[in-house]
Amino acid sequence: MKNNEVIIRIPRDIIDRAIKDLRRPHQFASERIGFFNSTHKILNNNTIIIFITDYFEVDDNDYIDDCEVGARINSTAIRYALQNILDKQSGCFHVHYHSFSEIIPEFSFTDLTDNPELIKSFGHVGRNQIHGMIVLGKNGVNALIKEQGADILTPATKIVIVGYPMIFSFPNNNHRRNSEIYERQSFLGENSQLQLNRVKVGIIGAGGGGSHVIQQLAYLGVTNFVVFDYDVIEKTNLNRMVGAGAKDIGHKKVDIAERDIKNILPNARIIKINDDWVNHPELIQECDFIFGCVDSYVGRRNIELECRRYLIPLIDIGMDIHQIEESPIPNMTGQIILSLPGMPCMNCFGFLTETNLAKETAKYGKAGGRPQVVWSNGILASQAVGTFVDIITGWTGNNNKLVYLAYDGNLGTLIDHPRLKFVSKPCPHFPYSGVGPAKFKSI
Amino acid sequence: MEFPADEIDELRRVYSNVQMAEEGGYTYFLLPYLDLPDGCIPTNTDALFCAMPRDGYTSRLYFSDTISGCPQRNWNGQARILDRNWHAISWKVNPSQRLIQLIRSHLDAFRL
Repeated sequence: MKNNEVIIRIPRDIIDRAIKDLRRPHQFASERIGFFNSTHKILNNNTIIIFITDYFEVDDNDYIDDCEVGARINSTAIRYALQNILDKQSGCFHVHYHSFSEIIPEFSFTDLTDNPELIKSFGHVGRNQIHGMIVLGKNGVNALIKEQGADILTPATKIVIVGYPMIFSFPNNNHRRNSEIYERQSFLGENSQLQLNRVKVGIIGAGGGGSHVIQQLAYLGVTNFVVFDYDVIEKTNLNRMVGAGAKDIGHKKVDIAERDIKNILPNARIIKINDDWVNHPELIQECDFIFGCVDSYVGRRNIELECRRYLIPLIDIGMDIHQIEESPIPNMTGQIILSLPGMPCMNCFGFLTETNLAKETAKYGKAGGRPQVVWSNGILASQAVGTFVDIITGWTGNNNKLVYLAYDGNLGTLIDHPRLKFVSKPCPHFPYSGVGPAKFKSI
Repeated sequence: MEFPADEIDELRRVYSNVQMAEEGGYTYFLLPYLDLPDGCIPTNTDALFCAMPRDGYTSRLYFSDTISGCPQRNWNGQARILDRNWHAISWKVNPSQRLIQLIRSHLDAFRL
């Protein structure tokens, strides 16, 4: 059966560790070899998503001195890799680094003739897993995978390094798209428009915050949208939902989102879901990036759990207007949080705590209409989109940046949250062992 | 989270196919085809037991289906946990019990 896509997601810290190891000089080998552990999911539309969960190196003593190739490893190293597949019930990818590749690295003749036999032997040990080989370059990644039961290796169509910034490699189709429309944002980088054009973005919640996000993404040239909102437009939404007017009352919010996007980008690909996303989880799992624009802590946690499991960066935005007992003036606050796999989660940031969740449960059914206004939604959404653009294009040069911004609507400030100073990384709540389809163990 | 070995043994004796997994700092026990009290529809369902505080409850039992044929309860917990959608009722139990007793106390909500 033909696959739609083969997507590989690699956390930034794992790839950094691999490159650091693979670039170490060896006594006689001119290259090094390592292995990635992986797990995978095959979606109902036959898209394969592979998640890299760990890296392990080959011991210095397990290289064979062979002047015909950059690196050759002995049977001890291969046995170790095979044992690892068995012990961890994991997929395995042979990985090496081509320092001379400027963009997408190519596999060498030796890679293509020697390695398939090794990959085949991986398949004999880990029959239910997908194995393959990956070559890393300075600015891109290439990969071939061996599906269960397949005789030949299949090229990956999209490889994503998940971090800040993200790096996307499209080995089969890397044509740049230049359009006059985006001339004024060309400072974002020469590949930026390609990245924005290809990234698949999920927006959960197309109301007050989400409508701003959607509109700005369309202006930027994002063309792949998955929009979720189970709601219809009511009169009380018209004070803040951009794109919606009086005639839209009673219409689905996702329809307004689609209209808004198509008005800016007639050729955009939009999947709109007028339902809770939890009933369509595979549509989330396929996204490269998620914006969470929901009201509740429980809703946020559900989204973050899914994003962490499937190695998807998430930006959460939200605002609240509440009354402090001793003051007659309402207090307007908000937040923008980046939840990036491997990095601190919303629990680490002290935002999504058991105390907050318990308070919300205690208030269940008493919430009523919550105060919301257009300008604070706009500020939070705009800055969230700015963070997204930086992550996708890397235009500022920021690296591994943590984002937890606190908005004070009374003062009109958006600053780093004080808790940022105290957060520890990496995140202890979402280890990579929990990535991919859930696995239970007998007790 | 670590649980007393004797309580885990007891859980395994009563629910021989019990399995365990962790997610987001929480530990869960999967109880496949858990038999529900008499009168419940369905008669059994997969259940997920969280024996630690979550969402303001000291412990919680989630079900893969909502349950009828029993006293009507407030199904206020829709959660996506460990790659699956779950439902839970608002039901508080005394936390000072053994794991097996906690599960029984949660099931008491469905007894006629």
